[in-house]
Amino acid sequence: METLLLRLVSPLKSLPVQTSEAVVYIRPEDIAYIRTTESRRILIYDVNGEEWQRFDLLSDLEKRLKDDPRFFRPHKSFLVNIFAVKKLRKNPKTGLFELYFGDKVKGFAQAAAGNMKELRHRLEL
Amino acid sequence: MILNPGFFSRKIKTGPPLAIRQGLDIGFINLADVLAFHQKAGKTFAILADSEVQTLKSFTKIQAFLKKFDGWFPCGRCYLVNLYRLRRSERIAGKSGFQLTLDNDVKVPMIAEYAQPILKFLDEESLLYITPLSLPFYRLMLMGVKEITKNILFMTKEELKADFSTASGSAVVVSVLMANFLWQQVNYIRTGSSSPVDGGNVRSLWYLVKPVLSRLDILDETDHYKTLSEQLGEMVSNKILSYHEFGLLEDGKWKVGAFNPHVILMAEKESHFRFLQQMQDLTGASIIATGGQPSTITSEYFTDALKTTLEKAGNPDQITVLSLTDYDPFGWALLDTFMGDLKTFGIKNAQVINLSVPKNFTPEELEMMHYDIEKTHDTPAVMLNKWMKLTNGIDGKPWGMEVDVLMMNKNRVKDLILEAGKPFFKVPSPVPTKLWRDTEMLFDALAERALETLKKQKP
Repeated sequence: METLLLRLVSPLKSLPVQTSEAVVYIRPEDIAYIRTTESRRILIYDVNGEEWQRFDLLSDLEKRLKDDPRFFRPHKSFLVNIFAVKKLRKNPKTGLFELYFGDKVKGFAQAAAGNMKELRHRLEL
Repeated sequence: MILNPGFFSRKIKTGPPLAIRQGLDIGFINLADVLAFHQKAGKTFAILADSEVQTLKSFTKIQAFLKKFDGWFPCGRCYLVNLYRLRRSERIAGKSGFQLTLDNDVKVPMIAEYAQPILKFLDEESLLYITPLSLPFYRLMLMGVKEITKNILFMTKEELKADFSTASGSAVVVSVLMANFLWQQVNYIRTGSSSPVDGGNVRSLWYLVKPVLSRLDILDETDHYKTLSEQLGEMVSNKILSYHEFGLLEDGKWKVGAFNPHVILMAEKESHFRFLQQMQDLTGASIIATGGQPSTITSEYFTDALKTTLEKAGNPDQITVLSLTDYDPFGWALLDTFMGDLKTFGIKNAQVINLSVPKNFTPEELEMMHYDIEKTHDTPAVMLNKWMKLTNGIDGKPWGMEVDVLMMNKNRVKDLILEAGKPFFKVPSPVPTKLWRDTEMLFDALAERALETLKKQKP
């Protein structure tokens, strides 16, 4: 029972990413958001402004992080850490909502209109 | 209520208390704060983020105690690590094991034999690369590229030796240094710095790195410029970086066609470029004179421009290359390189029609103007044999023909191009060159007027 309880409170495993000479492990709570690029790479932006790469699919990462209530996929190309969101704004040109993660984190994540209800709920809006 | 793993933040103390020695007293720390345990001289120490403390329990007892906790694994006879605090894993230079870096840059050595349970826990296949691994990253690893914080251009001799010497520490490996220099520079550019060689050429990169080699006293008779350009070429071919990113200028002899860009007239010799231009006026095809082996930079810039034009033309299914290379093993190897480069840079569906083949020469030319490849002694036997198998030379003899012989009669080559290209030209020859030239002139005039307007607007 004690072991079971301890396992319950143990944190999620870190996410390994590749550099040219090592594997670096990013903690889920340090991830700001994850996006796919046109060249089908996965870019992971951490809250410290660093950028990391993986080469699998966003859906694979979504599965990997599914037990973590912080992560939400507001758009087919983005997976965001709800706890890291600093700003939500509607882009008047595209009509899409954009999620920002502070000055250190490059870029922003987008939210599709169909996911806005869930996103608002997650953000307690 | 369902509590998922990780429901509680790592920052919340989740571990039980652990007794430590504090002089004559017994103190307690929280297991959640411990990164690793280490046994030395019969004593056991808990490694914390900023210190080491001696535990009351022995190493064996701690090992048994930790079995009920998730994430604790032995990584050697004297080390136990908390994998939830793992930040980095890499090879130890010159040794068989690995180095694990935990929070706060705490480094722990790991013996390879202990890897399996750790990999199972991490759900990974290796501690050196992730799966799937991209080919460019794999190549970077093979090239010995490291993450170096300090700008290589400003490193001292000692720092350079520490980072780029062989495992035995004897000499700096110039190829590794060059690869790291290029990788570092392109990363500076990717993160927003302007290219230090914008508008320059590969030589400009060489002039940047030359003082570094001078500092190492290795500016000897060895052609290190060649090493640099080879490493650059390899990195471009492996799609690690591109010449475009450096903003390098390229003055290759090529032009993408306006009407039939998907047909490429390719010549080996630069002296044939004027003829290619005339043929472009007639057919609207793309043209390129490689000047011997095509350089990677020319291939990259040509294919990039070609892809842009092809995209506008609705990406034709078939790309056709009409080639004018020497009829000999080197001419064919050169053509192979060109076709390979097209593929490397994203033109996947190209076929080739070689125009300089025996059937296009007259019997008299074949008889009188051939040369014996064997007697020139510059073609390796293996290369010649392979070429003979493919082409049968001229009537089974190892004879070659210079493409210049074919070019003696330009009208013949013109007819060959028109005939071979006819099934592929979407706009039949002759293309409306006048309109094309007029359009170009109109664009030039518009650009000039725009510049003048901008100048006037400046205060």
